[in-house]
Amino acid sequence: MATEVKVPQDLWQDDGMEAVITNWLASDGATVRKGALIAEIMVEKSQFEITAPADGKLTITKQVDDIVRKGDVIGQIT
Amino acid sequence: MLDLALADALAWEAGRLADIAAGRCASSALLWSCEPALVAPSNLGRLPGFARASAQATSDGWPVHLRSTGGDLVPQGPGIVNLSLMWSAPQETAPSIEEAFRRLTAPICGALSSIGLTSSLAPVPDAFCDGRFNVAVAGRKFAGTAQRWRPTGGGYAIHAHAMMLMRTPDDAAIRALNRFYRDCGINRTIRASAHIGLQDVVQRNGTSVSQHHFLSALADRVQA
Repeated sequence: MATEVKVPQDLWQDDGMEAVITNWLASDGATVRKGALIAEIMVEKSQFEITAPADGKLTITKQVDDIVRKGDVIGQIT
Repeated sequence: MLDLALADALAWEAGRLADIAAGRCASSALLWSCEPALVAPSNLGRLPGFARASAQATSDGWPVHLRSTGGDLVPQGPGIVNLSLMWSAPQETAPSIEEAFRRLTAPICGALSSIGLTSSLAPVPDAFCDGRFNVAVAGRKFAGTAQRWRPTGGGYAIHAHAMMLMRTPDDAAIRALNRFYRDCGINRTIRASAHIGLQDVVQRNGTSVSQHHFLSALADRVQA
């Protein structure tokens, strides 16, 4: 079963505000451990660390510099 | 307030955020100042012209450092005082990014108010590292703010940072910023007139408040 890697839903208040993926710290296809830092997004001059929500193989679905919103899926772990 | 080497200040911030994330301490605050430098968020380091721009800035007397918080390029130096504020927030009571900015800026605005100065949170066009949560005085940027958030399993470790202008940036600092952007191929122009340092505010108002008064008032509010 796949576990989605998501931008947190409650990180910021303004629903219209967008974030940008600034860094993937794990490669597409890499094996990751739950809790490991795998990506960073930036919104409103705030850098937010995205950690792996599960153990498994990472599939990246949004790339560096892609624009994302609250709750968006940026990858999957299987 | 501590005078630190910039590299040591950035290392202190990283270490303390790790301590908070690991539960070794609940919160921390530091007022610090450092030598002249340019500080960029880490994502700027990926720009094709970054290495060349950094080499040029360094040869002009502005060594370039990368930081972990978001935002854009800023100068550092003796005319700037930084407030690094960090705390842990359980998931159920975690603030939003906007609320965290307000927690960071409230003591700054309060300290300004205590010395008779009115401030607001606002963007300032043509200021460096512009954003909605600048602390502005007389429509000019007095302080810039940025954050880094780290999930901790049960919540977040939050690092909120403000850089406050004790002196209005001089032409050399503004030239260094604009040269760096140009060398990176970024079409952005920073103007000195978009900023205001505490000394200039005080002179304009004809008051006799010192930097020491402001920083003491700020320290009292951060510790409260």
